[in-house]
Amino acid sequence: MRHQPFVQAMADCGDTYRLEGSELYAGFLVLRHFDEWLAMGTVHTSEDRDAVLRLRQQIETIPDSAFEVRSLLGTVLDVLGRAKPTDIVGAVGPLLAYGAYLDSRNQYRLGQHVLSIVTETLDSPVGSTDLFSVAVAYLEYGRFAHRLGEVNDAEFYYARGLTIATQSGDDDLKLYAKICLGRLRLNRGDFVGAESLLDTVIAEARRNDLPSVEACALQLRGSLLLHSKRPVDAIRDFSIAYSLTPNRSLRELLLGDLAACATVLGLWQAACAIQEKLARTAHDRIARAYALVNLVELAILRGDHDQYRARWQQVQAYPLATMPPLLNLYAQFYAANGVERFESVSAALATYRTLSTRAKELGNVVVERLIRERLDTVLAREQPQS
Amino acid sequence: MTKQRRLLLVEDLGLAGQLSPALTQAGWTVQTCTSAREAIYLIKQQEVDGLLIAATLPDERGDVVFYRLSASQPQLRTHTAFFTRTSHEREVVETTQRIDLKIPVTPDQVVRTVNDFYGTSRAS
Repeated sequence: MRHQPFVQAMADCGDTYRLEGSELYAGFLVLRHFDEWLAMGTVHTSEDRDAVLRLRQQIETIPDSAFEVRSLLGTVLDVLGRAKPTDIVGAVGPLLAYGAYLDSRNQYRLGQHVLSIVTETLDSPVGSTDLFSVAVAYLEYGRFAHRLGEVNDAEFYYARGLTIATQSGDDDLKLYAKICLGRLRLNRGDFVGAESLLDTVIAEARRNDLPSVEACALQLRGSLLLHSKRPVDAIRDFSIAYSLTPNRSLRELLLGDLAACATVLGLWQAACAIQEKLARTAHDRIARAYALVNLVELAILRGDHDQYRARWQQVQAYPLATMPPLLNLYAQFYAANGVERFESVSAALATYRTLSTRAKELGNVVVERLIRERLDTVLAREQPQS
Repeated sequence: MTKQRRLLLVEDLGLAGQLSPALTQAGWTVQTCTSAREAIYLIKQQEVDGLLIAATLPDERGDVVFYRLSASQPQLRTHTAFFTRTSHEREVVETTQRIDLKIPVTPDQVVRTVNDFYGTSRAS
């Protein structure tokens, strides 16, 4: 079946699922309409027009609580209604936006499916000579695969995106593609490969005067250095990146990174001050959530049981279900740290095992290693007593 | 007293720096950013009355960002203009049916465009 992920998602909703008002069903119908547009072009017959009208009515049944997707799906119809068959690059714009919307709702499988339609459309003989668009679509597809833990696919699509970005002659995009590959290598635990790639990105960005790209690459290399237990080197990279970027969300991420360095160096008071400020004032909700999770870690390090409970309650009040899977994993890991420290070692061990499997599923060797190290430490400590 | 209108300007720092003073002088509160990612974060923080955006951003196509932003803030469906640099960008922007400001543009031209969003001719 052509749009299987959407069919599966509807089936997963269970017996109470209703088509009316369903954004999934409307999305499925819109994708089928896009297929028809590709095959037949803009509607001409009255029968076709009636079909589009019915589709619009279906979209209108999506409730106000999901007005954003209602609007996006309506825009797909608007654009297809006026686009010429030669306008494929313009026509896929709303679909790319729909994919990004699904990404923001953590619906990675569906977003990946939408991107797969865009990539196969753009990168086909009838598709496009707009290499920038093709490269962006491949990189986005790779990002979905990466988030789903399909690291081999992610690597393949990032590499394809890099090749096409290089052909397009767009330096920004080419380096962005290399940063995606660097992040993948880091997550796979290939520190040497990731660092070498990021070194070239940083040098090239500096040479071509691309400070935003340089800042992104420095942030990632700083994370790598922090994971390699080189916090002082990491501080240098994070600080330079901070001075280079006016991007508020990246600056908030960097402040969190600097606080993480302070934590590793035992400067817990400084780390707490930064994380508290981020938890209260960060514009980026993910930065706020990360700060809260890091405050849980700091409470455990300081042995402050009351703070740990209070912070963990704050984290639980946060809509973590809407957050990226990696953040969820970190949150549960530090919660298990707290259980280990203050409550029950055996309960914590069971959680570590589950989380280690989850990290493996996500293809994140770095986090898997962090959890395994903790698990091994606790097991070694408990062994003599058993 | 007229309410100050907010404008989100998504462009590289060079052009944004040239345009911001004229827009501010024309009575707009201008917020600038350079990437798709930041534009999407900013739009979640506050409502804006107009959007000026590059047709191509470092990490995304401008039209894709426009569709996302206007889905959450419907006034932007009409109150948006693109900066284009190539004929290909112009073709893509054409499918959005929004205003195409062809680079090079003058600050006065941009001020007139955003003032026309509201059918007003502000004194600059």
